[in-house]
Amino acid sequence: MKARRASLALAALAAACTSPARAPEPRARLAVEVLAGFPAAPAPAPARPSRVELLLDLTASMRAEVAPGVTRALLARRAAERFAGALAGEVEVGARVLGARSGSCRAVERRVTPRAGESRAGWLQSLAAREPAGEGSLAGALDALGAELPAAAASRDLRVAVFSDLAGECGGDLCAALARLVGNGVRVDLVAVGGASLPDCARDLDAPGPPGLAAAAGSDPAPRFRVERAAGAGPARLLAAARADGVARSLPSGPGTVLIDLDPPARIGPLVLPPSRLTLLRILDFPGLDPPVREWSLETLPLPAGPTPGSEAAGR
Amino acid sequence: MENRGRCALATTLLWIAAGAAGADCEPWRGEPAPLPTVADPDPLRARWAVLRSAELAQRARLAEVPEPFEAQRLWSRILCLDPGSALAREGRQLMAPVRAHQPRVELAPGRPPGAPEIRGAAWDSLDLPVAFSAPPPPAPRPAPARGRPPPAPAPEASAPAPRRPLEEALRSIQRAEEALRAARFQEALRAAAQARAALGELPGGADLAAPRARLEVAAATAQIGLDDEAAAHESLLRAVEADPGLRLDPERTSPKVLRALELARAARRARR
Repeated sequence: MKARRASLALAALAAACTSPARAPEPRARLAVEVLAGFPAAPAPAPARPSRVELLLDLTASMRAEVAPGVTRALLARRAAERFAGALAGEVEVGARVLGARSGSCRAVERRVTPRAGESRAGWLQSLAAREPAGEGSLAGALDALGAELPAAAASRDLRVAVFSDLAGECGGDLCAALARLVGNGVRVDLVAVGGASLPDCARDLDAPGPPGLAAAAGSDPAPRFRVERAAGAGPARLLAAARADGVARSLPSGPGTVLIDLDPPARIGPLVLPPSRLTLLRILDFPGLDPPVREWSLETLPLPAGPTPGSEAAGR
Repeated sequence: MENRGRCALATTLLWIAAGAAGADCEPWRGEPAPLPTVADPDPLRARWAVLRSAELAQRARLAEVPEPFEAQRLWSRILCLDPGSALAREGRQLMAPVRAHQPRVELAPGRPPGAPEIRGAAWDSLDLPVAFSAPPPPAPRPAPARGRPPPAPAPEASAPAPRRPLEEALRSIQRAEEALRAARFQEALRAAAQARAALGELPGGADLAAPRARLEVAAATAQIGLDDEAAAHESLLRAVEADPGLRLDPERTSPKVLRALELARAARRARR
């Protein structure tokens, strides 16, 4: 029995002596994460050609006075004249009148534009000189206007300015009409006279769809990084290379410089990567900000229990 | 840990607030998930939210003229990251696809009716009061004749009054504000310049913060009306220099002026 034990010990010793004596290299863990902004500032988009449509309400309710000698119609007309006169010359302008002819709930009149050489304020003054006479649905007028506007509102800046007391004698769903216009890319300014206020449903309307910028954000995968250690006069030794996606990687402990493929490239270090610890390097990179911002933070943490080297998450 | 829990709760509440504002606050591709806010318990994620908000604000401003719908979407997006941002709320409101205006009637005796010249500020004009000639006041009843000539004016009424720069300045500021209400921006600027000159005559040490700030706000409002944003910025810088705690009534002040004031305040802080 003793002889058998001795022979086993000798065999173990022999096995140990046949392989070269080599202490295992202490390992560290490193996680690199880039929280990025947009890649670069865009060139300003060119201004689009503008078209403005005026809708002047001259229905019967506009006869009411808002001040001694001043009717709603007069206030609306004066505001519209001032507005039209102040629009830049290159803006295409058209106008429609609602309720200028007698009758109940008539449709909006056909669009009119200034004649050549006619001042806008003067044109509108003559257009709106008529007294309120009939009735008409503002919602219906907006729908009719929307149907006449070009379908592709994206190609130009389309705006509608409505001068009205928002009285709804002829019915129609004003909010639905506004939502349809907005859905087609048209902006609407409601100039409410006579104490009328915008319905809440119209106030809550937002520009439809997600921002175009969402599609451009972060389409690229996480940038790559590598860790190098200087080796005297020779080429640097590559310790690790991976994506900066926040996943911890195992690599030799000791000094190392982290190089990240950003624009421009980032060089951080040399750092000391302590053995059996997780080094967390996080970079904020906003090259598109004016001025650009790049910041980084370094944190050393105890290793989470039971990790699988090279594949575990950074523990956040 | 307790603090972290409180931060998480605050973040959740901010998310709820952003959701109430109607914004879709899902992270975009490449953004950290869940989308960080400026109140994130992780300082780096919170900093990312601050920088992302600044980046989106720069893009929103660039888009305001050529792509107003995109600008409004971007201002809304900032509210996901920073639900308390007054700048983003103002931008979102300013770029809303449907805006309401309620011009007041301003009755001014003797003012000839007609549209004042406000070229270049058409959309801003929709909020301005509309001036009309007031009906003439009733004529005073003539005094009964008693065979004596009317009394001569008192000597002090015709003698030149001593100059009072502060009163002159206040009158000029008032004139500037009246001109603004009627969208007479050039006239407002002239009156503001007179007020500035009158205040300059006063000895140092006088407490002139309030009138100085008031006149510079009036000047800036006129300059914004004339699309001269650089000059407006300088005026508002002088306003916040005079009165660092200057606050304007958001109900009565154009969002453009409010935003320009915040920019001026930020510029002043950056200079210090």
